[in-house]
Amino acid sequence: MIAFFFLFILTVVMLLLAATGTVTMSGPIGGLALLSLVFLVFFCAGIYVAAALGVLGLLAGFVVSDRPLHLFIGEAIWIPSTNFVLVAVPLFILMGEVLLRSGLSNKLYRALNLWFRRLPGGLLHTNILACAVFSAIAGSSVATAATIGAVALPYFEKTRYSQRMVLGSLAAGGALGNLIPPGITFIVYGLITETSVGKLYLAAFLPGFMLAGLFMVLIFVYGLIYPYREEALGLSWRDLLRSLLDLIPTAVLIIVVLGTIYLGLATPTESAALGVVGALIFAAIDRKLTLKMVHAAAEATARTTSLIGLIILAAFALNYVLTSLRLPQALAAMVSGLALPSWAVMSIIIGFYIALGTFMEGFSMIITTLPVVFPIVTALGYDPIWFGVIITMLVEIALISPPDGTVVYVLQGMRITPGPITDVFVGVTPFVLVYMVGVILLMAFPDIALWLPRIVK
Amino acid sequence: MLAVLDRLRAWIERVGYVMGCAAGWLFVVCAFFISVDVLGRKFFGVSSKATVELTGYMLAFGIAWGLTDALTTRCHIRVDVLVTRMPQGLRAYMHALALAFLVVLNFFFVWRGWAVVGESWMFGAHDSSAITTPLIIPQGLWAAGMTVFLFLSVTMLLEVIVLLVLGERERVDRLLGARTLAEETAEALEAAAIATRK
Repeated sequence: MIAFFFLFILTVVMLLLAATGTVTMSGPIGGLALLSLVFLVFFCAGIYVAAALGVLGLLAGFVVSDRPLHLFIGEAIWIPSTNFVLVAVPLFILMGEVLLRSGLSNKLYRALNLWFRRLPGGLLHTNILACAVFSAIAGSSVATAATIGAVALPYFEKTRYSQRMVLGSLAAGGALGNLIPPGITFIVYGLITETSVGKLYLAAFLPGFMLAGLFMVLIFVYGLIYPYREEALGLSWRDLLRSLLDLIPTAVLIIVVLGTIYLGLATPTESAALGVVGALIFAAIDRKLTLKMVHAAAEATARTTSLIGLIILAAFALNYVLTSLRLPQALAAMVSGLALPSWAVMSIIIGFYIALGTFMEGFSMIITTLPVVFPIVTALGYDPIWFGVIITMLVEIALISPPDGTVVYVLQGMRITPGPITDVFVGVTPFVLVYMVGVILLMAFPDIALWLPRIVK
Repeated sequence: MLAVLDRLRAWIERVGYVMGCAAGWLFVVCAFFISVDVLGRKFFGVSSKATVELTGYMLAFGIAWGLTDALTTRCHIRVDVLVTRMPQGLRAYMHALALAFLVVLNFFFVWRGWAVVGESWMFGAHDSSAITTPLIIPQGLWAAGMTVFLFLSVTMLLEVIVLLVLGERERVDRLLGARTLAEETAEALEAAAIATRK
């Protein structure tokens, strides 16, 4: 509902601007407006996202240009198909699938739980922390929520924690999965916009942990309002320190994956490959490594890679046509010629993504829109790296915002005590608001993201 | 007619499943290949000198060969918020429309994909890596994967059209409707069960 309302307002504003002569609806811009309209119709009709993108590109080529642009589609899709940076995507997915089945998250959760259970808010902190730490090895939000959720939910059986807060905190924690490096969204963003994935990972580091911190503050305050203390287990410091041993596999994987990227020892693709091997080794140590397990992981990886791949290929086909027609440049020129201040345009863009995210899957959302939005953003003078972090945060918000948040549905499906889906929606809402506060903070203080990439050169 | 299409679809789906498994296992191989190469380069100064190219081909192969199975399991993403709320009759036609668009896209991908292979063959193109792979091998495999995907989407479209003519809208919905919540979570739960099994 919010989405359609927002899009409606946006259309009205555009029409008003056109009527007052601020914007001329002719030439390529008029064509683009028409295309966007066709696009909206495609989406409402439930066309496959990839097919909508590709057919739109073909149409644009046939209608607007007299060159046979469609003949070059083969090259346009073969080149991204073999891109070495993109190889990181299936590898990170595979690593996540292996970790999901490896039992590593059990140990992680148990150890963190011993340390944080006595804080106001108790186990809920462990949800956020376990997700945040797990995010530093996994590249996907759904994988993070599923992995930690499977381990965490049994802990909350027969406790007096509010189901809503439990599910909400797990969804929020899951929504750190793509933001805290390494994340798949950054790879795709880097590929489409030709920015450095390594720099994006550096930039996302502080915002990611800032959000985890904000979530914990929220839980802390909640814990003060509704006090509920876990009973003391009477653990000595020795027990506590021994529990840290359980964190070793996770720590090693973090060093293998993130450490090698940050120290410049490996590219994201190489570190993803090392991560897969590392995850398999730890699964073997835990006696979870079977042929059946690897087969299930491989099968799931192939499927996910292909569904992402098809959309990427179609987006490149569309992108090729659009760039040949010089549409993005024309649009960027138009927007930078607007009388609006750049922060206002950025706010509209962010509002647009939040609205889009309520009914569109986050990943296809950015691939679909970036070719058009990115030139506008750079024309306004924003830093591409900073925008990459912002857009990833918006994708994450999309993943947990009702009514179409994938992470929310995964958690709902994993519940042990059944209940209505509205529990998850209500529970996640305060966290979504905190997430939006995070976006605003990053808009006000871009250095939260840009400081690290600047000092590490 | 319907029975023939049904059998044909089941057959392509089986082929697609095997192709999907091949794609998945190739990613496992790919991970080991890159790891060995990185470690070899860092510690022993040896490298295949073709890792970037070869793993790129593996990706192209993996994407193309996994497409069919992703369609079988209804993984390809549609924006179906509105469609799932439509009455069943209308919904069946929307499914057919979506599939028709997919066929158009696939047709162009396959047609132009083979054209890329043809050009490489005509010019005898090789890549510039140490092992100078003739490009028609990876490109041919890539185009072949997309071709099977096209076959499946065409077969499904024909089947859907026949079903619509016969007025069996419910079966169309079963063939193409969005994966239900139960299906999606069953998958996550299955994976989690493997993890927690002692």
